[in-house]
Amino acid sequence: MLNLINMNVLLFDSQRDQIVMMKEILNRIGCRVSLVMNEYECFAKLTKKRYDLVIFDHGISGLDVTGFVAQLETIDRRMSVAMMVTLPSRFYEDKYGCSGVDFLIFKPFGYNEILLLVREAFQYSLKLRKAS
Amino acid sequence: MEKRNNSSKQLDIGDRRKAFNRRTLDDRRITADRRTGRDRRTGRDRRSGWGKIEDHLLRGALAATASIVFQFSRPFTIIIGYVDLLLASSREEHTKEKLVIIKEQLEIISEILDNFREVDTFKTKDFDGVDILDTNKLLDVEEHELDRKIL
Repeated sequence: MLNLINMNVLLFDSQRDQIVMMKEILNRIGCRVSLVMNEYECFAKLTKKRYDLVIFDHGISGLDVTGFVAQLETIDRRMSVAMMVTLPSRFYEDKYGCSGVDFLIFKPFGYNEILLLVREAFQYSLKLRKAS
Repeated sequence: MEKRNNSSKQLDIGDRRKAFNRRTLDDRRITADRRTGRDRRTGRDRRSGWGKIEDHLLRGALAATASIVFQFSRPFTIIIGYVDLLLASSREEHTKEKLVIIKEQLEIISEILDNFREVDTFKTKDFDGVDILDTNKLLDVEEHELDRKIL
């Protein structure tokens, strides 16, 4: 059984409503959650503290996803990165298959999907940390 | 004074300059729409953005489904998330029963959105005389839950 308690998760979205709901679910799972609403705030948080998982929305206007993920990798390669998406999976496979996005979570999702994502991300993060 | 009728003169058989079919006496130019940019060899329209009506319909249907998924996903995510939280925290059986019903209905909508997301062929079915988009998946195609939700 994986211990998800005290797993640090960073949520990034330009709108507050969705990440506030996710924060409540993640807190219930036992994760420690931080919310950010812009790119600079996100990088500032990541440089100050170690996070196990970053979840961001694909629909953030003006966000260069490839550049953003590349920047995340330069800060911490062992951190899992998940993107909340809406369009068909083939679109993301073609466009971001080679970028550093580790997980896609398709909207609409609820408690179980978030729990599944956190478990997978935690396992993946552990693997990467052991390997390094 | 004699009036000359040019149109009757065009019916002269053997006048190759008039573009008439000598067998049927039809004007060949009637069928050839010279305003279109259609390639006479391939039959395709050379102008960008133009094509067969069927192609436009297909693209329109795919754009509509993608738009529905895109617009609806965010509010549904928030609703489903809060319903899950209420289900986990609620102690009243009466409230829980209602929340379970809401959750079931939300799952149906979620499945419909999933089907819309995967639409890549334009197929309609008849609904009381109205063509509606058929988004039913084949039952024998069972995908792994993790593959479907999280890649």
